[in-house]
Amino acid sequence: MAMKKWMKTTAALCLTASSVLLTACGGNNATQNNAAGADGSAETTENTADGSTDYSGKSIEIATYLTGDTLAAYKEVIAGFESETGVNITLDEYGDDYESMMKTRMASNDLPDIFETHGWSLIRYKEYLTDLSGEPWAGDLSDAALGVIRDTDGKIYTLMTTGSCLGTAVNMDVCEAAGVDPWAIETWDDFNEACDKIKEAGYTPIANYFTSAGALANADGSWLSYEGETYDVNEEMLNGTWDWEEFRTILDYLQTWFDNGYLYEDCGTISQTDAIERCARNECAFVVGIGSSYQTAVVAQNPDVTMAMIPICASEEGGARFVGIGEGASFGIWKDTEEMDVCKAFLNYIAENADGINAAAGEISTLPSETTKSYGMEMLEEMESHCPDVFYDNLWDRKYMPAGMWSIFEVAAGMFYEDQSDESKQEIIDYLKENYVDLYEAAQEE
Amino acid sequence: MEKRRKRILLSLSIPAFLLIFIFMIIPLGNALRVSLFKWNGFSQNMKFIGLENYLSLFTDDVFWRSTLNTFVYGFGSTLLQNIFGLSAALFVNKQFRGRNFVRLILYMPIMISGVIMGAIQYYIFNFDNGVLNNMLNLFGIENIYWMKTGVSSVLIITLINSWQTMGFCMLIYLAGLQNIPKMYEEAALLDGASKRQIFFKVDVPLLIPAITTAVITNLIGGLKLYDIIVTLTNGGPNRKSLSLSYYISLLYFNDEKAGYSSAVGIALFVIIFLVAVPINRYLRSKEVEY
Repeated sequence: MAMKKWMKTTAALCLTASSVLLTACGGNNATQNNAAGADGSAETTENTADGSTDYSGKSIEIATYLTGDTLAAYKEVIAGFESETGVNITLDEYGDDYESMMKTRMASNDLPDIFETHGWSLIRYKEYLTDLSGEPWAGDLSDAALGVIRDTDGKIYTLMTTGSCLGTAVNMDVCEAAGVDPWAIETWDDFNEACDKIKEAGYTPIANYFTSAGALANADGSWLSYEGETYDVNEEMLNGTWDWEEFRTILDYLQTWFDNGYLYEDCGTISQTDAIERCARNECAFVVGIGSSYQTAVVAQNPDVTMAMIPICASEEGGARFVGIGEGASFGIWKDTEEMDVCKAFLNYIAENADGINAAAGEISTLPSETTKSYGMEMLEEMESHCPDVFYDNLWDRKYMPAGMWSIFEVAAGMFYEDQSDESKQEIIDYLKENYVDLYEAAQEE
Repeated sequence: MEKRRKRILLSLSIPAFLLIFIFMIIPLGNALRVSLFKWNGFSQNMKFIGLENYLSLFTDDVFWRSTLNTFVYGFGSTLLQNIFGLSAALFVNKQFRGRNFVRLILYMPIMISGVIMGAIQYYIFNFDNGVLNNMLNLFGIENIYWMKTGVSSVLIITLINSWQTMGFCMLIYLAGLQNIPKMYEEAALLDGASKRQIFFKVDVPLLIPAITTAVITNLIGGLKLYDIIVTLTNGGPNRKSLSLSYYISLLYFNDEKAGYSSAVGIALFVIIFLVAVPINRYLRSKEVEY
């Protein structure tokens, strides 16, 4: 009887213990993949007839978050490198789970030999990456790219083949039907006037969704960061002394989107996929603070739609309209890899053969080797022809906020969607400030 | 002889205990350890903060809301699954043409993964161009924003989860019903019992082992609900439809609060333990031998 009771208790304990697995399994687990060069096979390093180095017998592991056409293009590059050098590459396709998997692998200090840094080469991954500033392609990177990936010591830790270009996405067909010239929009007041016209014409002016931090985080530089704007508080944001009460200006403005009915009624629960679908159906005009891959996705769904990108508005007349530039397709090398030579050779190979990846990503090439102009590059050039005075800067949260703030803004966006009252705004500001201080202090301790 | 039998039984259970130890006890111990630290989940630096993460639980509104949601998912789903599962089992236990086909149809939803089920339902309940709203439009009814509030989202998730796993419940009850010897019902009929009396006085008491299995399985499944929420509401609006399981995952991987996430995980462990054990004990006490 006692045995039976003990068995029952054990069974109950085991069932309940499974609930904790979700948390605990993420702790210190190694992944299922083989480490580079662990196969013990004979390795040779010779120069082949075509000048490339023969690394037969060597193997490396690469992790990627790419999917769809971009992944297919990346696989072609990998296959090309394998056939030229004889290297055996294991590709881990993590897709949407990429960040979770990489965090788990960082925790266990067991990273892939090459992995994508997707905007976080300096803030999150730097301590795990190799300094690549001496590589042959480093001198070819554009100033815009270097401004994003170079640290204060002048070191770079990632090969950035494309820049993610972030502005305001525009459906030109909807604007034309509503009699709006998006190129004439300079300030947020102009933007609201355009939205009024679009709404009168029967369209939804703004397809921003408050399940993402985009509206709150990506447009903030317009008020806070640049000369001639409402506030110029770069230093304060960077040294942790910023008065978060100034964020109320942004919330007050965003409230006009709700009050004036510019947004979709379900903007608190939809995703980017919905925004893409609705834009492809010519139902809405703008998405503020979004990368050029959005327009690429819209046009992929409906090639008849004409999309464009305009800068993020200035807060005041004569202020800086800006476009954020962040890391796009970016590849770093784990500092503890056993195959450093092979990894560097692979990055050199990507630098010379990145066209396919860049074209599929629809972003802006940061290397001079580009021969096929990407859709993103075309949009950027069109924007520059209409708005020559655009100010380029790193993505606001990545430059001025400590690591981890994006998800905090995401929560704040949900709070704001639900309640735009003054009390709620104060709660949001307190929430942002509390987490900013917390994360800032943690970053200082690192 | 008895000693030898016990030794054999014990040796046979060693692989199972090893698996439980490696995949449950060690992670549980690790979660307990991590919950005492402030850690972002990937850095090599961890800061010991004692019980601070556990104290934070008391002032975390999202934790309490998620706990309430978890109970709704657990108990609400269990109630609906058992009512509809038992009804379906009684129905398909009768002899009629196409009985096996009906059984298959009722069982089919559980063969779909929760993630896919959530994604399908998203397109049914979507405000704009959702299947349900498009159907309502045919009758002149304007679009309804089904997922506007946390309450409506939680109820819809509970309903979908109940519907999806009802087939599993039906199968348990069907097996239970088919194991009840016919002689008890026949004896009750001879004694003049009505169909209703036979069901409540004969069938239900003899179904208690099946009810125990169905209730405990559904309850734990509901309390751990995760996948449908991810693809249907993503925890929204404003994190108001989160379950504790999903909140743990968000805290760990999205919010980079691994220590706090582990503390929530331990809290969920305790909650499920405190709920499952007494219910299991109560239902076992009601079982009858026949």
